[in-house]
Amino acid sequence: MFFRQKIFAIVAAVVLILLIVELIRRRKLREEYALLWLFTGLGILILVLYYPLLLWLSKLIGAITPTTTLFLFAFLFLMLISIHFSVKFSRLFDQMHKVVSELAILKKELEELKSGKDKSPQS
Amino acid sequence: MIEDSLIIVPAYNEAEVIESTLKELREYAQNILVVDDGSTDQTYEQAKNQGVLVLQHLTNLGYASALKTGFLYGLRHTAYNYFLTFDADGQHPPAFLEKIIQPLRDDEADFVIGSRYLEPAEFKHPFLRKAGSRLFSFFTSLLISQKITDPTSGMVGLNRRVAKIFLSEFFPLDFPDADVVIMLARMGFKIKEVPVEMRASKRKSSMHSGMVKPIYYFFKMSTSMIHFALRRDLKEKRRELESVF
Repeated sequence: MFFRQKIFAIVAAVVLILLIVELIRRRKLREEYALLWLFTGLGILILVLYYPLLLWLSKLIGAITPTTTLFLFAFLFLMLISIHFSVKFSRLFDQMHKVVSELAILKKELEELKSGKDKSPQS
Repeated sequence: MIEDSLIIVPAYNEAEVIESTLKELREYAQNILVVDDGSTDQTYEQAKNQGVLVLQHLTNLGYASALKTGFLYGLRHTAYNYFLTFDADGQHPPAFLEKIIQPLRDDEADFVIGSRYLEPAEFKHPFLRKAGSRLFSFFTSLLISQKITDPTSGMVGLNRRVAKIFLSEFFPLDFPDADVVIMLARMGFKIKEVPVEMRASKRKSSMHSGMVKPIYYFFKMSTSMIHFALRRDLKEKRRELESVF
């Protein structure tokens, strides 16, 4: 791995980690969402700093150059993050449905209470 | 006049047609619930002017979400023994509602489908829709060993036991059609079809119109049907869900 490549990868990983930590500190990102991002940053950092590990991994997966390994792992992490978000979105939609549904019923009941009549049937 | 059932009418931007649909429906049913699914037109106001029950979603969540809200409301009121789903676009003639409820009252079925294809009808459905419906009908019948001619019908009746199942995560929040029929049959519910006639929709576009939506619908429905066909724990889940509500 060239020196410049190494420096660039270290800077990118450190910036990513610092950004995530800062977002958590400012309460703009919840820890559970930050976990995979932190793993991504730390993963890149470890692989770059401990070069023999990167070489061993490259040999293991059959990659010709260590940079390919870095890109491949970055891609895999991003894919995991996307799947993680898809699962979260599905759950959020279910939760949103419940909230909207309850709100619609509560709004109806409130209107009936305000107008002083109960048009709804036996509860 | 139908008094023991709640007619659930999901509506999204149906201001042009909802008034005439509800006027006609009121001649046949006493308890009508419109679930306005976050319409951006005057659907909510138009429905309220007709003197029926109206619930309003704060945002658009889709056809099945609106139905689910209707079931939730209905289950919280003991006056409704049965639920019927009815499209707001004028496709469904209310004269057939009684025919759908009767097997529920007689305890012949837990879930009744108003089928467009049991008897020859005057109105000809678009070719692609009919072909899709026939395809899903074939696989549904095969998977549950019972002939189902119209698993994609939006005019269905159900009792409170089935409505409880529909409140769970098993009820798909996009297009509840053939997959739901398979799920109910495998849970051990009795399913029956009765012949109904349908009219052309008064609206120009439907939730299945366009190029992408039918492809997504086909993909989603196929995977969902396979999912319910492969599950082995549906009867057990039914017992769990029935005891919850």
